[in-house]
Amino acid sequence: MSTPAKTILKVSDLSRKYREDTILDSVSFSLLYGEILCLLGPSGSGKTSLLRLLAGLDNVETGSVLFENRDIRSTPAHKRQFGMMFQEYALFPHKNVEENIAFGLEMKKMESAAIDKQVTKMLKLVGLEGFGHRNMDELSGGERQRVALARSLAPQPRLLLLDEPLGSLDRTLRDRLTAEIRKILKLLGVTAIFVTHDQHEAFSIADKIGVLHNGRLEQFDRPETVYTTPANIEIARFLGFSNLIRGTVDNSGTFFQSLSGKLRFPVNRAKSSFRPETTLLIRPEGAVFRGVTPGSRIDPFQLCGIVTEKSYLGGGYRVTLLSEDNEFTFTLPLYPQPPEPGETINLTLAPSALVCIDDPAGG
Amino acid sequence: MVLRRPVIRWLLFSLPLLFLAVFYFFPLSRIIGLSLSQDGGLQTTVLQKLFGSGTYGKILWFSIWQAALSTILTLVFALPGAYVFAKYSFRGKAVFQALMTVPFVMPTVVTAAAFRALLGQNGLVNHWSMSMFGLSEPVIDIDQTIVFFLLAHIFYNYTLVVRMVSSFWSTIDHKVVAAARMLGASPMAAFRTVTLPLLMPAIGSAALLVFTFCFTSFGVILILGGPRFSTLEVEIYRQTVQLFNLPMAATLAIIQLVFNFLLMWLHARLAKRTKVSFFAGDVSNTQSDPESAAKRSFAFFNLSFMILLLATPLIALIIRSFSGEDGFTLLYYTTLFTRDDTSLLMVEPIASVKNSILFGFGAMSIALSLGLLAATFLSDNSGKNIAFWDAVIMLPLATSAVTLGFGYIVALNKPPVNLRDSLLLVPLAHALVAFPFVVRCLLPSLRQIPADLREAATLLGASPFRVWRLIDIPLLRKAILVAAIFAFAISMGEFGASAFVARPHTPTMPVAIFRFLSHPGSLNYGQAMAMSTILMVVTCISFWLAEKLEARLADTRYVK
Repeated sequence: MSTPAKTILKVSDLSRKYREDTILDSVSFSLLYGEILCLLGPSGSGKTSLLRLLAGLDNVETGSVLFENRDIRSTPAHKRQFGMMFQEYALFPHKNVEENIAFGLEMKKMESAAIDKQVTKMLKLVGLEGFGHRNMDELSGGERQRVALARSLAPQPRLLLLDEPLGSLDRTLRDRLTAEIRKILKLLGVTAIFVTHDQHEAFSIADKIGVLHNGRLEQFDRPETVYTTPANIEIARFLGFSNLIRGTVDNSGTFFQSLSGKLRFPVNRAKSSFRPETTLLIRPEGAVFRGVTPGSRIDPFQLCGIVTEKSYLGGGYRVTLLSEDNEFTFTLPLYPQPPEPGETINLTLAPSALVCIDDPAGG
Repeated sequence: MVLRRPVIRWLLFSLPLLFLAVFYFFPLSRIIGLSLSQDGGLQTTVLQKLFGSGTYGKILWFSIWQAALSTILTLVFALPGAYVFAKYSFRGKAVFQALMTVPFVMPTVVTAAAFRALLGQNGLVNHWSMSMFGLSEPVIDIDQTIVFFLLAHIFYNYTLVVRMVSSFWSTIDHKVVAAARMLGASPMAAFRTVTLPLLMPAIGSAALLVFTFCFTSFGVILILGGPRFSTLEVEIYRQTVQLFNLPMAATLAIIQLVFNFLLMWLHARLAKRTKVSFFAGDVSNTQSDPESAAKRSFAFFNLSFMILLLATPLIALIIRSFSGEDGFTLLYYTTLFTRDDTSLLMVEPIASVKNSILFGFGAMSIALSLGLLAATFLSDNSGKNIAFWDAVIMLPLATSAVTLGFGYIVALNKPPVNLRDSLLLVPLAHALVAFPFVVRCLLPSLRQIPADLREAATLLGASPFRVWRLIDIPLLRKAILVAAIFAFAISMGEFGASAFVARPHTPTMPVAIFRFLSHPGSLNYGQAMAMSTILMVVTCISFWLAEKLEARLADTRYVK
């Protein structure tokens, strides 16, 4: 289904307090028709609160929410025609699969023939044909998740909200279902907001990612951008990056030097108007090992150190090395075989793997 | 699990079984024997009376409809309260929760006395309004009417419904309701299609329990209803004590038994499906502040009603116990220490306090030790026919106290078991009433102990007994304490069986209160108030102590 690249949802300065705590702090973003937005953040970052405000389950106190250019703040949840998939699914335990899926259609007062048709269609869509009469306790985790998806999609919601819908499943099942959810959402052209604390899930499902931290929307970008250039150290750490060195950049913005002065790398920092202090991120997949050739450092992109740990990952190795009192971890391919712990290693870094992260708060 | 060797398991289980055999099944068989004629058939004269006169049909019908009406009224008043407790957090909630336990543990005799003190002819409301407005007639005239004991039924069942339903309500995932809202259901529609169906098992279970309690209501109807009203339970007592028609009493007791078994069976079926906890947990951490003015006033209205219903009768009781003809007096308390020829009791009334406490400890010890053995046996899931033995253990719960008491006087007053003058008779009867509660209280905690804890202890070299002693018992401390207090309080307040088995020279407090209340005169009335106040205080203190001790013993949480 083709959708015009038009804004469907515009959120401005949305805040929420609970007693003394700020849950959401002036969150603003907008979303296009058919886009899948993923709100990513650790637990307690305000993801679910944001979702509940959008759903109308909680009242907006500060800020505005425009849906298709209409203010929906006073529209009660059941009149918004949004769908929601809950953590642990919130399936009705007293209804079977069919009755769960039909619930939203009954609330729309659809005729029973039309309901049956739509339920059958949904069961087929999520691959649960023949499961209509099963009870909730007769379903596996993955099957429940499919029922929840079918139930939320059945009334053809104008916006689908998904609150950590895969949270309680195991890794393999999650990976498979994430791909499947994306396929189904794209097939139906549904605009969706997906909340998760799992970056893998976020990257594989989203068109846009919004990173929430302490109630603030710290970054709102395409997944690739979020991964390659995290907006700040918090986000970099949350994404699992550990090769972070504090230091300074010279006036021209082309050379980074660690605080100790012992590590120097060429960088390309666009905005030289920032203060010289910065943090350099070296992404773990951005190093190449060309065999043991210890020697002097000629190449400015070379990183030399002593291997302290080496573990086999299946498709490659994770190697930790110590260089000038700094610890770095890289993922390296199986060949050439990286040296054993205790030996010296010489790595060549890809220029694109070096990113300066300027943290306005941290200085 | 605990005691692997079947011989030892059965040996230990045989003690509670023996207890049940002698003090439950034997009296029961005597009742059945009494209801039958010499040749083994039903006694025709009794049956003719039973079905011919219409009186007994009316009694049965009255037992049923007053219980049904009480149940409906209780639900109407208590369900909004349950909602407030399940959904809102507010200041003083802990206090309200403590207040809620009071009527639930209050002996029925005290409840009856408290309602007399508040709304009776000589009650506080009438007393004050008459002196304030100079009236010559009491404003409220509900003595010996159905309104009076319906109020008392609501009083002690209200908290039961609030506790059971609210704790169940708070476990209903709020996301399920939110899901219904997101699928287009209005708040009302979400309540009707999701919340209510999910709540039904808890409501049904609570309603059934309330119905059972009211169906077997004894003290309250005897005292507040007066001679005009008779439930089956009251009639068994009257036939025995006043008319000495033992065959008729026995036949009625059998009818009562059949009804009770039916109710318990229904309840067990419901409970199996729903797992509604009778010993409801604390619900103080799942709620939010009532946000809107409407919600706040709804909560306020319900809490005010709760105070009015639960606190005023008890306060009135205390006030009445200190107010004589000319204002404040200690007369009703001081006369409890004396007796003369006109006295209703054969001993100084105060002796009944001592009796009750001693009987209470006796009943508690018996019920606790036997309950612990039975619960240990039942907790072993590998054993065969556990469900059957579980049901056997629960049988006394399905038998009304009056039937038990009646059974005791017809069975245990001559050889082979002659306990007619034994001081043990009362504690034994009370222990029998408390025993199923003790088992029900211990069993969930015992079953919760993960098997691998015991296995770990065994592999570390502990013998089965040491495992039981060092693992099970310490982990059960809290449950044992709760069970002990429950057993003690049940014994303190027990009236139905005591009315039969308590000897004139060793009355219990409820028996003494009943004697005072059923005789006219302001001194009797005042002494009933004073004695009821003492019983109320003793009951409250024991539960307060339990609460204190319980708080000291941390909840055992098992790491998964």
